[in-house]
Amino acid sequence: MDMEPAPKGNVTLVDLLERVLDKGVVVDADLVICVAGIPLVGVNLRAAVAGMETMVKYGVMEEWDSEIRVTEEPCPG
Amino acid sequence: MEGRYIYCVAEGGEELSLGGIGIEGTRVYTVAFNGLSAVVHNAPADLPDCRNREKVIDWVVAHQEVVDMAWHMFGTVIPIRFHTVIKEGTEGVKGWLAGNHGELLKKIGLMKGREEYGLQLFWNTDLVAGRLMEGVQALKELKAKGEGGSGAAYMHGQLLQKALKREMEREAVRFFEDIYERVKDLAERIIIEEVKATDSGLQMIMNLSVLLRTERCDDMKEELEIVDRMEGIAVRHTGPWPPYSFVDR
Repeated sequence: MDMEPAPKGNVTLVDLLERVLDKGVVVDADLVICVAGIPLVGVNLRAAVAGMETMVKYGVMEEWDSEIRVTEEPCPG
Repeated sequence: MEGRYIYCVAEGGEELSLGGIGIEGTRVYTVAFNGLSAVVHNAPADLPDCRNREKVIDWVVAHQEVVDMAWHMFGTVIPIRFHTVIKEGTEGVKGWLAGNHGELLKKIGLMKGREEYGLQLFWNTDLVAGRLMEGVQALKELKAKGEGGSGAAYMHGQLLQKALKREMEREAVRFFEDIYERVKDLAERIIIEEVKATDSGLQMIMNLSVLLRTERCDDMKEELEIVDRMEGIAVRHTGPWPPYSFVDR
């Protein structure tokens, strides 16, 4: 197999989502603006990769979805 | 009052503009406070909801591109969780930077000179199964007993399937441990991620996020090349990434 690090073009959407979506520093909830529809973001993204049949078949995105919901739903203020 | 969508935090006291590279073409700039810079764009107080999935994908891509650009500009960045909008405009951002100043500086210190890689190990299931069938005595015996059309043969066929599955699991653990050991000595930190289904004929048996000192990257690639030469095994890695997986706590 090719051992060069995947250049940006070869990074798949799944790679990108795995890093960007549910990682990074979480800012205290009372300092952030909650967004209508944001809890749906996970649902949307799971649907967006629906083209990748096997992923949906194995429910790969489900966990990310639920994690995002946990993060986004408690909406103080 | 407008919020500030925040991408990442870096060291630096200058207020800079990165241009219209943000989500939805927004202008990205830095808000500086006491030696720290937050990379932000202005977000309206009533944010549009995001039920449009293509849009959200675009946002994720744009988010990563901004973090990437900041990473190249500043050398070290602390990525913030996707879609974080801080209240109270620039003052809100400064307040957050002030309130978390020590912790953010500490994180930046820990990430300096480090890069993240995604590392995935795959195997060719048929090939590995074939090799085990030929190499493991117990499987060979079950296979021999499973030949012919009798009820006992049928039972042995079933037992063979179960035994093969167990052997495959053991083999996966062996590979996992072998490769983990190789990476462990080179990496500063490793996170074991969920394995994901693939749409190729290969099965993912290991998925790691690895934090490395930049100067160890070539060593890791050499190790991975050795692994990649193993029969039926393939290694894939992505990166370098900003340290997404290693900044939250």
